[in-house]
Amino acid sequence: MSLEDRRRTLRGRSVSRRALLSAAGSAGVGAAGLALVGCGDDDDADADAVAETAEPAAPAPEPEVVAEAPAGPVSGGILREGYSRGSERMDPIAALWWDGSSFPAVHETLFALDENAENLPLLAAGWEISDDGLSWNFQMRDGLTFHTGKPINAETVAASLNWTNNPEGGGFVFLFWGPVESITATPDNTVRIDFSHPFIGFPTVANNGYATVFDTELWEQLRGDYGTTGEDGGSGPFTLTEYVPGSHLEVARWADYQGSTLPFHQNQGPAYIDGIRWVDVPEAATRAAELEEGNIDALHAPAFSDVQRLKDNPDLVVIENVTWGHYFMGLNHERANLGFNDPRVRLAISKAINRQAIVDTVFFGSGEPAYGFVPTADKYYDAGVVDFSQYDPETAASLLDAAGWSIGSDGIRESGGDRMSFTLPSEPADEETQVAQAVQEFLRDAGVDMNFTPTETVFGDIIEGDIDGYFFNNLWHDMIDGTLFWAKGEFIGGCCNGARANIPEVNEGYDKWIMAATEEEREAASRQIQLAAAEQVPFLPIVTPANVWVHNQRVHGWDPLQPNLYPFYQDVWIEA
Amino acid sequence: MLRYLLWRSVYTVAVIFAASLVIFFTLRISPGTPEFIIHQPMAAEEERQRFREEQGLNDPIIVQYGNFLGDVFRGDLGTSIDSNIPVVDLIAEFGKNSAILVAAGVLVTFSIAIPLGVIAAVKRNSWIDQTIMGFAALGMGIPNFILALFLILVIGIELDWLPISGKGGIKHLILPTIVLAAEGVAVMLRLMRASMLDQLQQDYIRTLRAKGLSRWRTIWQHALRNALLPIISLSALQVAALIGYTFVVETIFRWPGISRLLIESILQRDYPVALMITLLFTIAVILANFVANIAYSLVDPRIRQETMLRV
Amino acid sequence: MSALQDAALWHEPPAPEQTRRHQLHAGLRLLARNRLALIGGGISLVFVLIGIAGIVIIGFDRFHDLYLDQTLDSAVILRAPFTGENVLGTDALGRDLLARTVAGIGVSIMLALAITALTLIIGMVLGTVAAFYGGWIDVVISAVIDVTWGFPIILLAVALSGVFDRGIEVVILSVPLILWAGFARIVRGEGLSLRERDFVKAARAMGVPDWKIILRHFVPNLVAPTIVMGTYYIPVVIVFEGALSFLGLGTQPPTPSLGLMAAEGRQHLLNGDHWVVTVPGVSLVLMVVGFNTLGDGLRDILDPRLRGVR
Repeated sequence: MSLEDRRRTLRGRSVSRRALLSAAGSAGVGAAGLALVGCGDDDDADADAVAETAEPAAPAPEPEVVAEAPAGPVSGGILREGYSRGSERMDPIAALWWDGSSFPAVHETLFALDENAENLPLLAAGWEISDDGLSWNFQMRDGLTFHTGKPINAETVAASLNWTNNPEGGGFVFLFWGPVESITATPDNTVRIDFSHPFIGFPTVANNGYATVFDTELWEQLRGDYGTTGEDGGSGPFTLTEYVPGSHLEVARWADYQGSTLPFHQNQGPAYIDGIRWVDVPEAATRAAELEEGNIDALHAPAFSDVQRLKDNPDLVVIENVTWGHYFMGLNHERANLGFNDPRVRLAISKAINRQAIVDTVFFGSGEPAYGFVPTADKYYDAGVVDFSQYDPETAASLLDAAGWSIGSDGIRESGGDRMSFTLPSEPADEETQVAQAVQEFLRDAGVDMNFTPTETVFGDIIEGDIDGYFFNNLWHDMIDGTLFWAKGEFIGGCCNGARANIPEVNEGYDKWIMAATEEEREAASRQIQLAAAEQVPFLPIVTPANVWVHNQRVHGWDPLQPNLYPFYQDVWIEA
Repeated sequence: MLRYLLWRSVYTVAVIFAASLVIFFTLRISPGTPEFIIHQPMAAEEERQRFREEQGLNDPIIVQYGNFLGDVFRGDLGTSIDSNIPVVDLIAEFGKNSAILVAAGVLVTFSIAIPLGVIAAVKRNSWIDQTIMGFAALGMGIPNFILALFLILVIGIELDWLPISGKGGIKHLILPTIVLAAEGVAVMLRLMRASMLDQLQQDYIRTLRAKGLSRWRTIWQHALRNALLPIISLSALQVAALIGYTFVVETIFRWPGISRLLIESILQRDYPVALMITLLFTIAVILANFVANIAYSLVDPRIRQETMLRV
Repeated sequence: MSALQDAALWHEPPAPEQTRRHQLHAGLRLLARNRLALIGGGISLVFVLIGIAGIVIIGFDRFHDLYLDQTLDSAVILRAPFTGENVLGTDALGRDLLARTVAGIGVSIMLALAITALTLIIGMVLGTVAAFYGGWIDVVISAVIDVTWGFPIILLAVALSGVFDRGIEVVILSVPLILWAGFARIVRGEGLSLRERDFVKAARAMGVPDWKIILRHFVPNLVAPTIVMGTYYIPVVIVFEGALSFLGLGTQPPTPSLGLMAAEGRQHLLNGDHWVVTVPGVSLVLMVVGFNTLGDGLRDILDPRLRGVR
């Protein structure tokens, strides 16, 4: 399957209704023409024509694609991209949030994921793993430099990775790098990483924006100012030029980019476009309008209520894939007075929520119910999880009864003088609030009085721990690593985890996952965690939303791969 | 007059100082610590402590206030915790946009309210007067965020005449300006009408007319000038109202102005930014009051007798 | 208390009772003639009744429970008015907009009445104290009035939303903290002029306690301004509650507040599902215009001196 084919399939999934109709129309005309010719020719032609018309929907968008891309890539132009969050200060370690679009355009990592979620070398030329699995050697590419002009070699890369692994950097990826013992540069331009135990999963915790390779000299010099001064220590195809928080972030093409070696990049040299401007559009209500009015060329995450309208717009292309994450609800396991220490109570609450209804309404069908925390598109997804938290109000009620929580006079369940009434902080975004309102309603019908307070301080509240639980939207490129924080025994520095959960089977599964020496072990571990979590419910995944990308027809090559979620800007070009 | 001016100045400075104290302490007792919001929440505890030390958040609050005052007098308005950008730069960048919006709002307010107010007064009790006053009642009755939504719905979406959000050319400015000006037009128009009616009943008008001056010249050259005096002095007070409206307008139309920046920084617990903008707005309001008082006392010397109370 | 003091207290302004009753009658006659006040009063009354119905709904059961259907699915959401069993249609979560608007009006009216009462009480007490105790107390109170009057309520509310979590507390605190000043000014003014009257001077000279003078002579004078200003403050509070909730700083979901409903519905405007905004929006406008009109009418009737005071 060629790259162009892959793109077509990606687009084919979401081609607009009108485009489909016109494509079907032209396909019909084509078939009729063939049939006419066939009449005078030979008898097999009819069968051919049938075969042509019977061709499924896959090639349907083809006329559109062929029609739009006759000239091939041209250079120049600024891509204006709407971004649903506000861009953060581009700090390679201590960034509050790693912006998946802008970050990799400026900072590169040792690895990158391809369309099959395999890790390919990006800054590294390749790597070797010792037989005991305890030491990895990354051979660095020759001749690469940072935007600052400093060479990218074993020393500078090791220095960068050592900062990533250092709590004093102000980041948190060191939490995921627990098995990393030492990172050293060896004379043959190789970076050697030693582990305390085999760690087959290392690439998945080293291929994201919190683990980029950067010029440590510049970073040490700027620290908190890094990302605000219009300079950067990255090595990607673009350089940071301007950052205005709450407004926009701009990058310009780096003419000296030595080129990508990733096979799925058609363009291996410097980028086509002159630059990219990411415009913050945090208000869901106006996000899509910005694109429709032509203020931007591309958009990440329109409001779900707008997706259908955008799909109906022939000037736009909508790309939908499954995001790596979920909206979920955590219950503080230490709140025994609410029964949250009892797995039956947690499972009952989970079963009282009609996830499909929430997908259909709040997300307008753009998403999938999350019965487990691993999205169905993930290669580690285990279908065994779906049975546990299926919507079942009767079973939920009997589980709560069995746990000693019976319905009180006001319709709220009670047990030994305690009422099952609690308040959770939630993120103040539109979808979160909608999800919380829907969940509140379903729980109310189960006799559980759940309230919520939208607040910006959810994460801080969770770490401080003096709450009954929380609503949160989890996003991480790998959902098993991405849930360590929320469920694994002692994850936050010798203390706890987001849910104050301590479930032996789940903890053991995570340990095996981190210590896996082979892919088979990793798969087995992932299955164990998923099933144990589905049964014991350390937290309650609710919905995995779709990740929606929209661009106008002038933009080409802007195609996020499912495993990466975000597009690379290497191949992007804009029609003049 | 000079004594009054001096007394008002001293008083204004005292009030600004008191306001800074109130604002500082109010924001510092906020729950939710900035290092969780602004710093990577999963960062190591020691790092968060280092951050608090660096920001001086561990000092006693009175010391923090002292440091803050000292910094301000040295001309250092602090740096955003969130973005590490100097607050001065942020205020300049976002303030510029707000200034454009407010200037457009003020311009529209006066260029509509004054002529309409005069016409309503001159054509008193006619259908023109009633229509104008009806619109004024509507302008005061429709909450500005509802007006904004209705304009977005009708002009932005149904008719598709104007863009509904963001900052761009002059077109982007039209809807926000209308919303910003609507209530001001209604208020000013009513004041203008009352003030004009007052003038039209004065003796000098009859004298001028008796001398053969045309009706329109009497109105536009003489009555208007006198009628405008109280309006202009009161218009300084309209500044406070406009500041209030910008919060809604900038939010709805996604106008990258300073009010939106304030809302965000407050919710993000970005103390330095929130503190400075709150203080800036408060000082603007207090100064507007000061100007209004002085201006009004020039128009109506009785005010000076009435020690402090504003009329 | 001596008889003399009493006499001084009771004798001065001539026959207040009779005059006041007479005034009331005259006022009612004026009211009947003042079309504005009648229309405004009518609209306001309707909204108060709807509001009471809304409060009853909230009181009898948990409000959110009433409207979100257990059978939540894509068929019940964003229904247009007059198309199904929901007369005014449904919102994005399938909740009946009529029910939510009624409850929302209840929330508005309830908050408006409570906050207005609080505002009037603060204004009355501080204004009276400033007028009758004078001296440095008056200086301080007047200074605070001077700064507070006209200060943008939203600015205070935004600052306070950093202190409290976003929620109704912010509305309840920020509005009276600013609005009281306008009323206190009027009260102080009335008080100052009353203090200069001979009968009050005489009463004070005879040692009649201030609170008696205030109760007997001052409070009755405040009835008209209280009614007029109260009628003005009610729509002001309604608008601020709406605006703050619209900004996400006031009433929080799932509590139905008209401003919040408009904010939640906003993102559906572009799809043509405008009723989620227009239903609460128009209700809010009608309610505000109704109270404003009533306020104008009452001012004309009760106290022409308050013209232009807001």
